[in-house]
Amino acid sequence: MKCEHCGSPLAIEQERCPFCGQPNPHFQQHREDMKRFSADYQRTKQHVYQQTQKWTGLAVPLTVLACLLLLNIVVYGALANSWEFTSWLSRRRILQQEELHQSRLEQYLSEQDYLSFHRYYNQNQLYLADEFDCYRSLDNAASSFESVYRWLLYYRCEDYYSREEVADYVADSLGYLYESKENFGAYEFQPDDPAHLPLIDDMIEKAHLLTSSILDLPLDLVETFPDLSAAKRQDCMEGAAEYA
Amino acid sequence: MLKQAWKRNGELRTSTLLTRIFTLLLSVTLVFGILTWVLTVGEDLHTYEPTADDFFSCVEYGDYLWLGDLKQRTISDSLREEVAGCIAVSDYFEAAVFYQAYCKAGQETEAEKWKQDMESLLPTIEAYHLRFAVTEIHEKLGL
Repeated sequence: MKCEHCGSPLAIEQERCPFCGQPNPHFQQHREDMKRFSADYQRTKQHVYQQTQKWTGLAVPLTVLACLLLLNIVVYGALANSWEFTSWLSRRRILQQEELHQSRLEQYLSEQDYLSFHRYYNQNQLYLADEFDCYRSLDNAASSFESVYRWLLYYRCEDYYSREEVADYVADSLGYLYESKENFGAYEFQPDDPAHLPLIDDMIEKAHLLTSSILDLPLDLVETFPDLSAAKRQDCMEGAAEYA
Repeated sequence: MLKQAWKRNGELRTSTLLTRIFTLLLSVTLVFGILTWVLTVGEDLHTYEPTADDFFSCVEYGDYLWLGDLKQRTISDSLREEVAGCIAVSDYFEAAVFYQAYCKAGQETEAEKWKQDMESLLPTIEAYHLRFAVTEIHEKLGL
């Protein structure tokens, strides 16, 4: 702009003309405008700050809470399903050595070493893998056979259990062994191998033999056990002296 | 005005306090949950691996049933070699049990088979200086 008095160049911020010294009529208006703009700017700035602070003050803690809640749900969900997770890991581990497990199981069965078969099957958690389902019924029978063997040898080698207690446990275990044979192939979801049935018969025969030998019972009497109730079997074993 | 300001300030402080309490509670439960999960999974995946001492203790104390469990556990080849004598004692015990049972039943052929098994294990047992276990097995079973 130019000075209205002398025509010299004049800036709007200059209160007077630097050449003629006359007052700048637009300066006052400009100063008031600038004050107003500055006040508006400060107000707007404060408003924006307040709004932002209000939202961040609310949004940040809420986001943190939501994240924590979500993580809690995930962690407690994982905790509730930890068995599935570890089973999955174990199954992977089993399948990595599937051939080895298969050959060891078959080796024990060919040697009719049911104790080792049962221990191997369980200690390696082979029951977790579907690939070994065909051995499940056999393992149930082997578990009962192992139980008969264990209780009889506790009786023979240790002094902790009385004859009555051992007779009770052995009678029950023999019952489970007979049930394993009865239920063999009965469940559609359990693919039992028919070749395993004679092995269960062999387990029953060996269990009878051990019972007869360790409890001093006539083998003929023990061989009638499958037709007797558990209570009757127990009676026979407790009163072995009468039969011996 | 002043009352309103106080009220507003109080509301703000209450909500902040509540938010902090919830954050703290959720953090604590989260840490607890993670620790429990790690411990549970660790426990489920943990498998007991016996040492040579476990095997020799079983032989020393005549715990042949537990020895039978130990021999089926996953152990390294070097340990299996180290405890081969103990494993032979366990096999000897099982063979002796069946030998006695077949003898009592009068099934000589089967009994002879088990006796051969017992005899085949003796050299290993003697090589590991565990002959005393054989004597003890015979005493326990009344052979």
